[in-house]
Amino acid sequence: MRNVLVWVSGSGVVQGVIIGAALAFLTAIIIMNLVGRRITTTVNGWSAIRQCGQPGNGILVRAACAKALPVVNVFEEAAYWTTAKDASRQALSGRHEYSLHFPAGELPPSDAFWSLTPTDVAGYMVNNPTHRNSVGDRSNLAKNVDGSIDVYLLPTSPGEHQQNWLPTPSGAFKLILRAYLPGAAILNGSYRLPPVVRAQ
Amino acid sequence: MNRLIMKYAYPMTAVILAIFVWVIYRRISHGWSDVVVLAMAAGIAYALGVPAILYLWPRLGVSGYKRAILKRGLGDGPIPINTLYAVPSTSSPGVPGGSLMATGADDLLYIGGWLDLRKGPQGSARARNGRAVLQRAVHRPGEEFQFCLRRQTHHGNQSRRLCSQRSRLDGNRTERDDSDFVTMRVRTRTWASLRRQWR
Repeated sequence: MRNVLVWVSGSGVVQGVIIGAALAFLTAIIIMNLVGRRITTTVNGWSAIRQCGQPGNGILVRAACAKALPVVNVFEEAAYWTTAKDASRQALSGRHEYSLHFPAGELPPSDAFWSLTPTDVAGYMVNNPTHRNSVGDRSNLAKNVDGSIDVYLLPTSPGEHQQNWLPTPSGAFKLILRAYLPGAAILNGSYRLPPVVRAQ
Repeated sequence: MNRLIMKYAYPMTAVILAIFVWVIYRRISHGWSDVVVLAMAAGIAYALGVPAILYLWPRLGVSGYKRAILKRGLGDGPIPINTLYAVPSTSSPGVPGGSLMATGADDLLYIGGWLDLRKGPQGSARARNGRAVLQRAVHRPGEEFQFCLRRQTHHGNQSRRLCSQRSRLDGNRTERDDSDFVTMRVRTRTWASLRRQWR
């Protein structure tokens, strides 16, 4: 028995199992990411996965969903969009100023409510002096003359547009927009979130 | 820890792969015959590991949530089975240690718990002071159900009732699906309205 253990420890079996298991883990992560990318729809830089939580999903889709959005609601109950890039496909950064322009009547349709939250790249909210961590349908956002609404995304106060200001982290960040009980236009795919535009 | 892993995934992967390369290089330096056993063991572990990880990933995630709920709770100690716990504050970036409560939306009150319906529908679950009580849950596929909670005060009085939307369990669920992770979200405007909802 002792000889067997000595052979196993010196033969490379243990090292091989460790290396194989670690590579299997990395491969599984890559597969889940690829499947996640395949089932993700991206419009105007905003990505959403509609397929998660459905009972008919196969092993790969279930694994990809569990990795991307653990214990997520079905899309019909809560629609989530994320973006980490602006309209020119550059990474969002607190060094720049951005805006989100909703044309008149084009705020996310929902039968409950919606909110827009900036987080760091890992998905955690970041402290800001104003303690304003999101804007949404209850934020009394100021309308432009034509009825459209601009949300200003920058780390420091924009001055005159204070009411529509959402403070962003100073480093790289991403945005999450949640719509609870999304309306028919979201569910049938006809609704499109506007792109995040970097101010010149 | 989770935050660190998510943030530094690529450098950590690079370090691990570099260690593997070093190990293989050391083996090769002792002769190619030393690598054969290692390669075979690695190949078998890899071939079995990939499908196993893909299959088990969702289950491991749910098990992790179950363990966390039953043993650690959501900030106020363990949450017993069939008890739903209402987190007394909204998510915020100010929570220590980068916990899960810094990842949600700051305008929602989260409610969570683990239901075990192996003994059939639960009429109500035993209340603990300060906890929400599950009033009714039906788990037969196709049947309409609704979760209703009562917030029990520290004096043992029950106060305002809060019900989820009426919903219907999917017909594809089987009788084996008898244990559920339940989350609820209550929209809250302000701290004042939050206190009103739960007192």
